[in-house]
Amino acid sequence: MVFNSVAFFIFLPIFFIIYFMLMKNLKLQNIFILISSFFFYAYWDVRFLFLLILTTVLDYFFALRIHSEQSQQKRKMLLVTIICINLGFLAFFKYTNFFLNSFNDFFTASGIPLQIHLLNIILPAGISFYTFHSLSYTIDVYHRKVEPTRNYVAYASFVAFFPQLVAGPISRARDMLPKLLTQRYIDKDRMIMGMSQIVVGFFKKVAIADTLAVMVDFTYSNLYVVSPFQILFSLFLYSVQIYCDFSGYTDIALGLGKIFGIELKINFNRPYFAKNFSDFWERWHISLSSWLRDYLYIPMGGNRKGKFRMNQNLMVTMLLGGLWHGASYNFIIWGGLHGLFLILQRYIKIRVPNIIAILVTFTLTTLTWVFFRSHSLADSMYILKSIFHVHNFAVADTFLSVKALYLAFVLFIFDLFFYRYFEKKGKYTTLLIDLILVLHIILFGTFTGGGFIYFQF
Amino acid sequence: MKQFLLRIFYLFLAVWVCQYLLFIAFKHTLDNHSQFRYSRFFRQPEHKYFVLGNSRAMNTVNEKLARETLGLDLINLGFNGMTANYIFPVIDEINKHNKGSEIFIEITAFDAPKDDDQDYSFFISNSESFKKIIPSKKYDVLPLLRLNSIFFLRSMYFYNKPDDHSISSRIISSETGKKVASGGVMPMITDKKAFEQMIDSIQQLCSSHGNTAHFFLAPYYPPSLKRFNDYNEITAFFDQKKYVFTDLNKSELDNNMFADRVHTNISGANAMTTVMFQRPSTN
Repeated sequence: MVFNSVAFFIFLPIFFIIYFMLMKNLKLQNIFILISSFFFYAYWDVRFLFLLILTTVLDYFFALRIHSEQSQQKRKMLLVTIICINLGFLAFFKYTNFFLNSFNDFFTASGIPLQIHLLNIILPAGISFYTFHSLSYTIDVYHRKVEPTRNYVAYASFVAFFPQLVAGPISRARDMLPKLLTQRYIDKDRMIMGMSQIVVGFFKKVAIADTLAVMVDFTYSNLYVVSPFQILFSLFLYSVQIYCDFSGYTDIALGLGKIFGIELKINFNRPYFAKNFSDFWERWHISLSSWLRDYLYIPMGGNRKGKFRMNQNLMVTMLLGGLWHGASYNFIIWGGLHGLFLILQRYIKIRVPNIIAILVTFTLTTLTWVFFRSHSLADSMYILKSIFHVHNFAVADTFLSVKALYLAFVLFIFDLFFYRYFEKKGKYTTLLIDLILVLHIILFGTFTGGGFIYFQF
Repeated sequence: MKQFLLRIFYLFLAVWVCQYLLFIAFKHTLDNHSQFRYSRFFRQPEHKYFVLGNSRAMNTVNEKLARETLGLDLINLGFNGMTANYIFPVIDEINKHNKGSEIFIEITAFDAPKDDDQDYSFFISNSESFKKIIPSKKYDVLPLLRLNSIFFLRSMYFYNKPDDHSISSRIISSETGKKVASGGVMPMITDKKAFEQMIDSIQQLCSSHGNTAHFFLAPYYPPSLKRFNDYNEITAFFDQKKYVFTDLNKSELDNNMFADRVHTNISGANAMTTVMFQRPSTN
């Protein structure tokens, strides 16, 4: 089930009514959250619900065992086992065909007459997200940063909480479990803020991302026919589209969390106002970058073992971050480029006005998105060559271009002056901004129910 | 909780009222002032010549040339992707206000699958006959959605200037030309029976109101014409029925009068407009 579907608009009010009817009984309310979250997930494909349940059961019991075990060696062995199980599921569903393809390419290049048949594997929605939820829990229990809970329902609700289940943010048990284990209460101010944040999310997704997607998809499907300017223009639009698509989803998830009293951590903080790549990763998909920092970069040594090791750690972290997004060389190159820019910025110390720094960071980020969005490496290279051969300003659809530019402008103004307005402005101003955003949705929205980009990860 | 629910209620109420007010304001302004061809058509529905069809019709007949140079009372109501199901209600509108008019219909669009995108509903927001074919009622619930379309943008874009300058001046590239020439064979229409029934219905609809249907086939980039294996069959159908039909492919335009393999550029459009309206009944 996706947020911008009819099914969700039926599901949400029913959930809302029953959830608040159970407000005085925490146990029943948590059971209801869990059942609803499983239903939300099963609505997409019931077969993969069992994988989700299996993951939660295994992590729940392994965490208890790791905690109760006294021998450090056994604790470590248990941790390694559960990490292997979690990553094993992820690797099988997400990376099997990628590796088989790579072997086949290698055999072909080496002249070995061997081709391995690819498997018909469907990628379970949100597997990368809930695997990381689970991993953070068991690793934190191992490091004794979190007490394992003996309440399976609360734990499974933390992993499967439907607003964050399929596209994050990637929550930590230490933040989420207390909210599921203590009595929740109704807070009208928080709930009203949640409603406004949901409006922002739908504005970003339906009005901006899905509208821009029409032009971007057209360009990427007709790369070798459209003008170089159309390609360049679509690169810019894709930067806006992916931001609005993903942060729009997150805003809806955070808004729902606020309404139901289970607040999630912020995942985006105006990333295109970043002045360099470190700044960008502190603003973009914050829950993933902090996860990679805490569970990969720092355990590898972080910046504690000299400059060379630090650079190496940065590059490995970003390459794996790229691979986390998808099983393709394009994602690895995308991660690698971010790694490279993160390393380079430590050596290039030029003081420039903030506006220049922001524009340079945005331009470079936009170029990295080429690899993220392209169907193949060949397409990416073609795009990068084309954009240096712009000789006119021909676009495929002038009217859609005008609409896209207007929406990008509205987003810029919104992020510059009205970012998180629902936390700062008075109730009438907030209502007025909500109203303007909803009117933009119905006036400029694309109501084709376009999927969220990050669902595929 | 009560305050939260009230807040949702107020928001929805404000949205409902504002979108109605905005719709009325936008619609009133555009209907009365926009130079977009459909806005003009609804302000002034009586004309001698009408052109209908998809982008090929739109790019083949230069309305400005027809009006200013040839002195014809003509309006080109073709638009991108206009399929047969949209042509019928527009003819209904024409029939309501005109008798003795000539309606030029480009036949390529007939065979296209029905477009359920519904974008086209908006530009005739005051046309009841057109609204009848729109299966969904969502536009009646939220009128502002009627403006949420390319036609709204067109109406805005052409607020101060007529939209008859939109024919491309580009010349087809030699690379595209080569690709076209080496392409495989394909049919121009896929369902011959349905195509013929629709042509018959159009003919009947126009003549029953005292108007003349004038079918035409806009020119294809010459090397691509040979790819259509049913071209002769289609032209023979019009011969047999004795319907008024002009095959503009017989005019043998130069290759550089095309913007791409299916659309003429401005030079091609000027040539074709002159050919069509100087010899309106040639076969």
